[in-house]
Amino acid sequence: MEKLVFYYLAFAMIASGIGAVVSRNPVHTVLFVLGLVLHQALLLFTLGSEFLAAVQVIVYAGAVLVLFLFVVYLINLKKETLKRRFIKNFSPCFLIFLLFTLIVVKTLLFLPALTSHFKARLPFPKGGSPLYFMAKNLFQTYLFQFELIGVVLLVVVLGAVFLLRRLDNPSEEGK
Amino acid sequence: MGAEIKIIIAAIPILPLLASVITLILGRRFFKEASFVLPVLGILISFFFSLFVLSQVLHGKTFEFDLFAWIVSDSLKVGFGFLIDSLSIMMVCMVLSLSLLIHIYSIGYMEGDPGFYRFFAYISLFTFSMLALVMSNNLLQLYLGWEAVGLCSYLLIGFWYEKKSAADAAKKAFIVNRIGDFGFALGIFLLFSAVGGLYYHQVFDNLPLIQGKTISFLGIKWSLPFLISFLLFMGAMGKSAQVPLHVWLPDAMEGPTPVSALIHAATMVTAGVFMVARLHPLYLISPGALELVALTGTFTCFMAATIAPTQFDIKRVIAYSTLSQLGYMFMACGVGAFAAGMFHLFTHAYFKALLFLAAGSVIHAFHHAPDPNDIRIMGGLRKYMPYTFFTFLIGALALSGFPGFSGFFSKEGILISAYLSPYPWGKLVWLVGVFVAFLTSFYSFRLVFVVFFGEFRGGSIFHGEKPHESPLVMVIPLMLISVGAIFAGYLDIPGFLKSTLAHEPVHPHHGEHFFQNLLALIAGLSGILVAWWVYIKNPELKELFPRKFPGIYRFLYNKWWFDEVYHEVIVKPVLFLSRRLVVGFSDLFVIEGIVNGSARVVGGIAGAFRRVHTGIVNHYAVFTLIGIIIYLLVFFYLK
Amino acid sequence: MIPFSYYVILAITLIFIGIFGMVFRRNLIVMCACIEIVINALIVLFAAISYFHRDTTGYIVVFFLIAMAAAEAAVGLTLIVLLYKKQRAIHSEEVSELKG
Repeated sequence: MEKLVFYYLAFAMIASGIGAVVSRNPVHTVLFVLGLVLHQALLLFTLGSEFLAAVQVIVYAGAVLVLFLFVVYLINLKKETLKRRFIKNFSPCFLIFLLFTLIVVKTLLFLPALTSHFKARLPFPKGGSPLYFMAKNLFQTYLFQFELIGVVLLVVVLGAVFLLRRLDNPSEEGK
Repeated sequence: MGAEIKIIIAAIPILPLLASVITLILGRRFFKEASFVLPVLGILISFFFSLFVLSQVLHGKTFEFDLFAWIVSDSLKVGFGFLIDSLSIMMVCMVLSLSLLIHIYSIGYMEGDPGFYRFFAYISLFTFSMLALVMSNNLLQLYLGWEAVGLCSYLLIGFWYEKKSAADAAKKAFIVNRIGDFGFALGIFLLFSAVGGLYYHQVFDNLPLIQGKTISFLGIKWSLPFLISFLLFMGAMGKSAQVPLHVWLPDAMEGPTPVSALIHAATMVTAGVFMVARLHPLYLISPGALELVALTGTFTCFMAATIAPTQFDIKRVIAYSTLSQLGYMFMACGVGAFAAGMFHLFTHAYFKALLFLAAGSVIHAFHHAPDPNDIRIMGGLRKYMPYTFFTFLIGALALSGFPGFSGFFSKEGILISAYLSPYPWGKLVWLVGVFVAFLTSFYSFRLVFVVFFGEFRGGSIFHGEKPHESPLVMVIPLMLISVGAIFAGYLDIPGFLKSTLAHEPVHPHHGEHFFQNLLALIAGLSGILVAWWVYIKNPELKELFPRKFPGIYRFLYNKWWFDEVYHEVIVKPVLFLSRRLVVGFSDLFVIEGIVNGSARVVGGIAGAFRRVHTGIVNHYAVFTLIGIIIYLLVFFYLK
Repeated sequence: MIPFSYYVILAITLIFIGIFGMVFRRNLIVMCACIEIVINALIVLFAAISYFHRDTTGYIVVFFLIAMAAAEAAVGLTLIVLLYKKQRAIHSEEVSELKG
């Protein structure tokens, strides 16, 4: 059962990933990525973190991808997307990508050695759920980083607002 | 030695420093017209502290301690420390009392100047530097103070920097001083390598080690004590304006008059004399260096005294007189009479500061004139500026060595010490000294008679009005300093310094050597008489000398052509060479070659690599991918 | 019981797909989406490490990654909108002012 669930999720993620890359319409791309994200939330659930699954659904699916959709609809370039060949004949890039593939495949051969010490599944410390320990870690050891990411998000919000506000003002355009 | 006294001693230099820094930072925005408060307050407190320390020293105590270790490196250890003995406390009290009075004087003199706060910050910084110099217990701190007073002097000479002559004079002072300081630094290095320490007590304890040693340099064997003393004396020549490095001091009169009084007459220029006195054991083991000091002093003394009577700028006359008096001090040091030299330094500080400040008071009254320093537009000021006249007269009398005034005692001490000295050049020094005493009183009373007697000649400048006395804030310091100028001579400074300058030859009692004393006295009085004869009784006589001996007159009027000779011999060749070298060779070949060459190399490489920049984001992603590939290859296969 | 290496393979495959898209797609929005795919692969990897290692640090990294992805998407999309408004361009070959 466990394996079946994993196989289904892995297959669905890879398939929607490929779909996202090959689809010509950006709307489809975004929808495929949405599928990928939702399946990944389920995967996180099976990996023992309900909290992260919820965050994944709320933030990724609920905020980021909706933002993508908004942008796609805002720009709406159906015509132009259709007229392009989506893989251009560009051999140097292709060669390099092939080289990369080769190396990654070669690297995969090291995998057993790399993952051997992950075999022993230790129990989580007693006295609370994984979420409890995660929260404790997050708000004690990594408190500073937590605050920092808050500042980063704030700066991003301000930056985005600032960048787009300037353009709305026609007198400042072209500066 | 208690901790309190240490704190008090350390506070003496630090208070002016704090006042200076705060005033410099906050002065322009916040203090403005009240900028003088902090510096005056800081120096007042320091002055009281120094009086307290003086009372301790009078009880026979000396203090030596380090505030903190400054440099510690193997055998080199230098601290920021203080050595308080009779020599340094004398200097400290003198510097602080004069500095205090001149600060107060400057409140009136500098009033309304846009750089008011800057002036007080600088002059306070100068006080700190001078105190650090005289209170130091090691040579490196002495050097620090030495350079810092040079810096303050530069800043204050160029205080009115928008005036080209002032900026030039500041540069000149700084550059000429650098030549001396270069030698001074070399002397310190040589002393350290010879003695292995920079504290005075280390130097003095190890003097037997270097006595009679020689050092080979440029194939010539030099006596080590002579070489060290000579190099250190180079610094003194620069700072105390002795020939051949004296050219900066007359030009330094471009600065505000209180600065001339404090820095270029009373304190900074005496640093060289102080240094020689401080290191007197070193000079005593090297007769050659002593001879050099004596001859330099004698020559400067004579030369400056001959130039002074030909000048028409009131401050320049006094500046040349300063040169001449500094020569006296070095003469005294050169015949081994260090205490007599320091005594003259002490009295000279008061009466020369007095002369400058009184001259400043006159200049202040004439500040509308195109050249307020020119004595030819003055005259008859006795009636309009009585206080200034009396204080100036006191200064002139003291400078001429009139009996009962301070200069009389110290000058007499120097001349007698020179006459009695065991060194063979003592008699020559004495002879020149007596002759210069005549010239000194002649030119100082020339000033008195031309400026304060006769008819007022500045009517066109004042449009019929009369010049009037300076404000009280200037007159009161003048009076206080004139008290010092009269009575400084009655203090037994040589006796007080005996504990420090122990190598003093026995001081003769008054009454002995009556003939020599009388001769010096007669020389001084006849100078006054001649001045009176020439400038009051028969005014047409003053044209006599220039008419009869035009060559000599021009020679003296042009200050022995030192500036011109330097310009021809040093400045022009240097400029010529540097133009040739810099413009002809390095600019065209080296610099332009490097600049254009590097640009061409960069251009070539960029031309080859510019095709990489396609402007398409995907290709940049590919480059990132190449980076990742290289990283993975290194990580897995080259580890 | 699924071995850890399966998760690694899954993550590598997703990264692969994302990079493929980055290199070969010309639509800037799609390229942004490909970045999201790569980040998702990393999330899988970190969560798996945390799960197998019994250490919550990996989860915390995932948490930060999601926040970072949100920030990155916001900035990237803002720039794309800006570019579109200025140049009416949304494909990478149309924007080649930086060509050397």
